[in-house]
Amino acid sequence: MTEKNHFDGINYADDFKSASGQLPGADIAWLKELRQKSIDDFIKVGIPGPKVEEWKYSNLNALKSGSFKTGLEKSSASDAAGIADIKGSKVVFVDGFYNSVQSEIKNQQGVTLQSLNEFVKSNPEKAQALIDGQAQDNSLRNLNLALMTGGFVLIVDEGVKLAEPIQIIHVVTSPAADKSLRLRNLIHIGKNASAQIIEDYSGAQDVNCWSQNVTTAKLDENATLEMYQFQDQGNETIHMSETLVDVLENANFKHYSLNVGAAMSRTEIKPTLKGENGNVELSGAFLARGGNAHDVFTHMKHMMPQCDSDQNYRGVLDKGGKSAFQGKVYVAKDAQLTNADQSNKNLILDRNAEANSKPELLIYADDVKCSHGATVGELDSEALFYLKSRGLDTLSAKALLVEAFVAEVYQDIEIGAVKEKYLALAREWLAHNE
Amino acid sequence: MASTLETRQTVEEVAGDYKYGFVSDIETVKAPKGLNEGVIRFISAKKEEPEWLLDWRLKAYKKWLKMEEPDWAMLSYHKPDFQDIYYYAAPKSADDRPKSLDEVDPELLRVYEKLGISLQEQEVLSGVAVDIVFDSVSVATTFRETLKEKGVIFCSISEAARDYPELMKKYLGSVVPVADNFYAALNSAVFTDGTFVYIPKGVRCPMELSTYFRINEANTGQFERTIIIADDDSYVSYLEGCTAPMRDENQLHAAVVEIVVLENAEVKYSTVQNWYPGDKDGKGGIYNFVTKRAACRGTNSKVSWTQVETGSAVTWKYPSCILQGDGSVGEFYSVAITNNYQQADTGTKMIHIGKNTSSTIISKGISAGKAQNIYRGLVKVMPNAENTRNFTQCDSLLIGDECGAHTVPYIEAKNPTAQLEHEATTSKISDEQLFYCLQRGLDVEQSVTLIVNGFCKEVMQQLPMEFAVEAQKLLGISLEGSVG
Repeated sequence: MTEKNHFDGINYADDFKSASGQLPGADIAWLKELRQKSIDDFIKVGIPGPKVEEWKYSNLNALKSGSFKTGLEKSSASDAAGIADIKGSKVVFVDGFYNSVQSEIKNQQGVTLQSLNEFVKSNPEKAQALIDGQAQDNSLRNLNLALMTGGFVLIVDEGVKLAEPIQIIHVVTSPAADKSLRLRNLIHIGKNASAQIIEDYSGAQDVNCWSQNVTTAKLDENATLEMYQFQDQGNETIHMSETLVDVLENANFKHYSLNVGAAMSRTEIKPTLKGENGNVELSGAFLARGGNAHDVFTHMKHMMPQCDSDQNYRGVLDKGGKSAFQGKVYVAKDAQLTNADQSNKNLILDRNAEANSKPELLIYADDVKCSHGATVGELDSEALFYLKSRGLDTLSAKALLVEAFVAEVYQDIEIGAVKEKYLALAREWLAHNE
Repeated sequence: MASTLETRQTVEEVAGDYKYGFVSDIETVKAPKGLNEGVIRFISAKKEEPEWLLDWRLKAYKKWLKMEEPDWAMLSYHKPDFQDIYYYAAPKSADDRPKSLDEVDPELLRVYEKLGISLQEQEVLSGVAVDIVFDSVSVATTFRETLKEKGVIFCSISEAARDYPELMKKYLGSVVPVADNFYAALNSAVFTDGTFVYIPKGVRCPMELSTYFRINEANTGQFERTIIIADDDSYVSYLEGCTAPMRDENQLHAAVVEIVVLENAEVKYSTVQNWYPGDKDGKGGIYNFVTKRAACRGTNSKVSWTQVETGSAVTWKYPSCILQGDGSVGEFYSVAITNNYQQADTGTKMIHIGKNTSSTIISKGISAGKAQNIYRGLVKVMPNAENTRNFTQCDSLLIGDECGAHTVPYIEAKNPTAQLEHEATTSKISDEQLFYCLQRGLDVEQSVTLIVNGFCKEVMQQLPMEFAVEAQKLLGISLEGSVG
């Protein structure tokens, strides 16, 4: 039954059977039906193996046997404070469940911010419309829908500007060991509206678990959405985050990310430019060492004319670190006057490190300007020498150069506290360098 | 934007009506249709091959039977029916090889003349030794004497199997193993002819070696095998050019080229590929599934691939360099033009294994009509490859709004001292460029020729003289008379 080059999906059937009765919304007919369909669709395809092109740099062997079972235990976290300087709402998830005690929702006219499970109960029709209409062409996404235990919903009505950035805080604690934690998030930014979301993933060390989040967003005409992701999961965690965004006319989508933690991380960002004059900017960095593997996968779809997109990703690979950047820019036949840029720069600091890059362009329109650049190299020896001649020792000189290399990605961020957090996380990672 | 339309019309003519489309009717000896052990034994017997080579073929065939046709390339075509192909066709006169040009079938000579490669003329004027492959069997070889003096071996692969079995045993399959990929395995089982070149130590080959491949018989797949060995401190420049007559059915071509470069040696391999691309509606045309690979095995060995790809309905081809020797150099220069319904998925692989190795990739893709042009390339740096250097540039030019240009580069680095750069751009001929040329007094047609040639210049100037002329003609011929 399983598709070629995939691991058998049937290993997840037992988990679904035993968990499905206890999943949120188990008593809601349409949701139950949707979950059943999703698991069936997943089983038909299975877990992508290393011969599946999109997964060639990420090893999903650990997911082969289906040994991670859906976590159904609610816990609380000792630290879920987020960034103190940001006064907006806080939505806290601990081990894959919404924690209403630690969360802090601040009401604003024209803004709906709720846990998904509450939203499904209070707005069943709207929830059904939002979830049902989503693309189901991806086996892991189907698995997520079949077994998700919640998520958040953000709806910003037409013309409303979100007062403060929202923080979504995900924490993994030790009871999550050997569990899978799946969340599904829905975002809809109305016409002329705008929002900023900070997503923070962190977790306990040595907790072997699989955290998988899927976020789907829709940006109406002239809407703006900025997302800032931090990923500093525990060293045994498999982290996956998939963000799908529909960008309509004149809308703007910005996505920043930083991956430093997790045993293996996979960050997928898939914007589709569905209206003219849309604008998408994706930026991020990934820092890996000691068995870390980061895989950033972007799929930029230009479906309409006159849209701009820009991607800028940087990798730093130290001893035992591995990374992959797979960026795809697709320009449809009708998407004339597209401007699409893509850049991926990687620094390898150690002999035992690996950087992979696959910046792909698929272009079906003729009047376009598309470019991509990718580099792999070590630190500039002249710059290093310059710093050393100014009295810095080798380690500090290296750290300074690497910091500068990473900081460039985040220099345009306007929210000071967010920018500072990116730099602080990067610095902390660098400081661990022996 | 009238100029856009004109531009499109102009370049739609790049491939133009196939200039070399004619069919000659020379009687051929064929093996029965289809593939089985019997056919392989037939080919081997026909070639009077030694036992070990037959065993080698049969081993490849057994492996091939277990392999699957690759589907990862961005190509869509009807998979060939391997039981509906003739695997052996030789001109009748093959049994009785001609001693000189005078003995060559006059019909054959006329075919060459139509192609504009008169042997006599070439002998006298160009100084190029030509090993002509006509439907899989070499029928005439020139300049062998001159080469013999220098110790250069330049012969058909069947002759090499007979006369130089040690060299053949040592190098056949040493760069492209029998089960390397589906088409290489097929080729290993059924290859009918090809060229064998050996340049001894310290010899600079006195002339450019050239083989014209030509597919003639309907339904005959060509399975060429080329082996080039450049011993220490030697140099050779090898030219491969291809034209084929018009056919309605798809013809399969699965060639294998193996190059071994030893210490301080250099091999330059140039290709102009102009096989029948199919008609305007995408009917017919050659399937060109080729495995080309060079192994730089010595210190400071160098290999340079240059290709101008204008023909074939479907191209699947990645001339690669395995840079094993310290300080070895790999280069890949490519121009690929696709028009109408042509599809090309082509590029290179640079595998850096030795220290201080460097590679350069320059790829220019031009896509017109409803064609799809894909650059797919890999740059891989192994952990011990210190101080590796790579520069890659892939530019695509789109002409018309129904074609596609794609770039799929893979960069895999496992050594911190590697310096790898990749750049790619996709654009069309800009109105500004056109306007500038027009304003200087050129007409649209001249302007487009100028711009397209300029776009490809970095690659074209890598071609040897003989080929540069042919290649520029290929770009140019069709650019003329298409506007107004």
